[in-house]
Amino acid sequence: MELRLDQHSPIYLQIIDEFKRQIARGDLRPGDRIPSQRELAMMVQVNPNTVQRAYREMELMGITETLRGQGTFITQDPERLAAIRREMAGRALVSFVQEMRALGYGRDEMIEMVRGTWDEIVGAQAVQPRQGAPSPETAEPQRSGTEGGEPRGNGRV
Amino acid sequence: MATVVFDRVTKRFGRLRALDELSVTIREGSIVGLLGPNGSGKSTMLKLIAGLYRPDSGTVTIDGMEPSIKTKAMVAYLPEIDHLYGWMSVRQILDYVSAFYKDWDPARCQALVKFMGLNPEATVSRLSKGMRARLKIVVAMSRNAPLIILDEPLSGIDPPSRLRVLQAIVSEFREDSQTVVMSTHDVADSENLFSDVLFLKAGKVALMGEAERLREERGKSIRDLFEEVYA
Amino acid sequence: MWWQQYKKEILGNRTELLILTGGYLLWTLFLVSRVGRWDADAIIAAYFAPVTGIFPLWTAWTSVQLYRQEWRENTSYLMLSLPVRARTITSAKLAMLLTGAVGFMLLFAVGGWLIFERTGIWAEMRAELFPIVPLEYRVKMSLLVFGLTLAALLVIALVVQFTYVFSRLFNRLRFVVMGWSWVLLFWLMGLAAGFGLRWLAFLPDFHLRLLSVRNRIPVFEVVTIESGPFVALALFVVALYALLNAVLERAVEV
Repeated sequence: MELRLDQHSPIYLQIIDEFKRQIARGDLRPGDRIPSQRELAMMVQVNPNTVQRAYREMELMGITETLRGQGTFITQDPERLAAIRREMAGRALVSFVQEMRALGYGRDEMIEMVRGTWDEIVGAQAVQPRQGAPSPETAEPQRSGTEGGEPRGNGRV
Repeated sequence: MATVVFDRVTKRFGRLRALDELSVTIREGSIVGLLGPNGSGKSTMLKLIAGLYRPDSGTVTIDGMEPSIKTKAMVAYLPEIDHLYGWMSVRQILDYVSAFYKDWDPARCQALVKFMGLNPEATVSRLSKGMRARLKIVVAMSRNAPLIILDEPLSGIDPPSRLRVLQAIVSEFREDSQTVVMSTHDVADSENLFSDVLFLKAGKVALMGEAERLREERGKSIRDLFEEVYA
Repeated sequence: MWWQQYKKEILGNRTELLILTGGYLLWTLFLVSRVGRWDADAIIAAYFAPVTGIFPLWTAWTSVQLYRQEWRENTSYLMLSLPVRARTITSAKLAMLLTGAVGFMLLFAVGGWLIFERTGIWAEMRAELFPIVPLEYRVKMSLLVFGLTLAALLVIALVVQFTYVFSRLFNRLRFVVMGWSWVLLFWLMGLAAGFGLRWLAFLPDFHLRLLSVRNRIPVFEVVTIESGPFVALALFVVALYALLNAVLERAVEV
């Protein structure tokens, strides 16, 4: 788990986003235990109150569930998870399309280029599948080779 | 937990006004970043809270009390300079200091010494700068003090020691019972730590607010705001 | 708490204490080794004379050091942030000085006996003086000298400590402030003694039985000493101590 805080927007929102991203990517799976608030605060040297706020919001959003005495876990609710994934995909799409438009590409051209890049990257990976990687559908093209193979969700940052 | 109030506090050194009619309230349960360049009055503010300076005019109060023996028992103070007896060993320092505070937590102290990688038998004057900074933070954080004031705890030390010091502050801070005021001129490393920030400029408040709200409202990091305020 | 503070003062000054003790022992042994080569009177003079200067000087020097070190090494930040009354700090420092003084005096007495013994004077005293001077008187006089020396050293210590702490209230010319307040304090002490003599005359006098030996016959003379000046001086010292605590607790900064 990597937290890259850019500090230009509220930290608690960035923490929530990071969890959403990891859930969408499959780095965090339904039912995975996430670090305790104190642990996370220590790992990233963030004010415990900020982490607390992020965890409270995630709980309210239904992203996580806290079991007394056991810790905080990623929700098992498939609909909730699908929604998070859709939300993250939507955001990625918006920024992608905006960026491409700014570069002067049109709709069809863009779609064509996506097809080409997809075959190039995912096709190449299909020859040498990485162990432990999430299913190809969720894999992002730019990911580095090691990340997907790590054990998940239990306190590594 | 403790509330600190500065009411029109002026502190002069010769002709220089280190603090100039400063009025500020530090709320309970927060980690306040006291920010500003050298000479902006940060250290003076903290020494007034610790009772090591006395205001020329105005009042400083901690939970309504002016600095006294009673407030000193509530305050854990980490000065910027090395204030521990150099001839003592780490263990002697901890034994000595702990004798004065009812809120000293031996178990916590032991855990912190281990976390910091300090050798209890080492002589303080022979420790590296980073190790001395680590020892100072152990001395300050081993107490359940309602008010912790840290004067430049990260200044001039090696990156691993910085990380340890920051982690110790986060891990030992009790948001339901403690208030932390920490001064620094280096915002980048520590800005995520602060719930509130207070910018000082020539002994006056230049800007104060909740860190998250400032980021939200201004769309800027505290570090960028810092550069803006002191430009 | 007080004990920790006292222990800190003793351990913090252990190097000076050890050097002084070592120097003293060497000097004593050297003088003992001179017995038979030097004149006995010269040895005794060489043993007793330096002490009258070294003792007060050591007391004054250490008194300043006990405080100056705290500021010089920045440990004043720790000392002044401790949640204790100033008297805990000042009394521990004074106690350290008294401990050192008592230690040196005992050492000095033992050394003195050694010198007397080796030069043969002790045997002379045993034969001629002890049979006619009662033991009780010998013990009383020793204790009196011991007590008066301690009291004098305590006064020196307190005055010097006060002048140093007081000089911390100034940012410049601290040595000048120290010097002048030192002079001023001794002048005030003289004044206090004078006032005591005049206004405290109603207090009962001290009666001291002094012994003199005439033609091998002991004669006791009763000397009457006015207690007024002593009481006034004692009050002055107590007030000075209170003032030292007040300055340290309420006025001094790091």
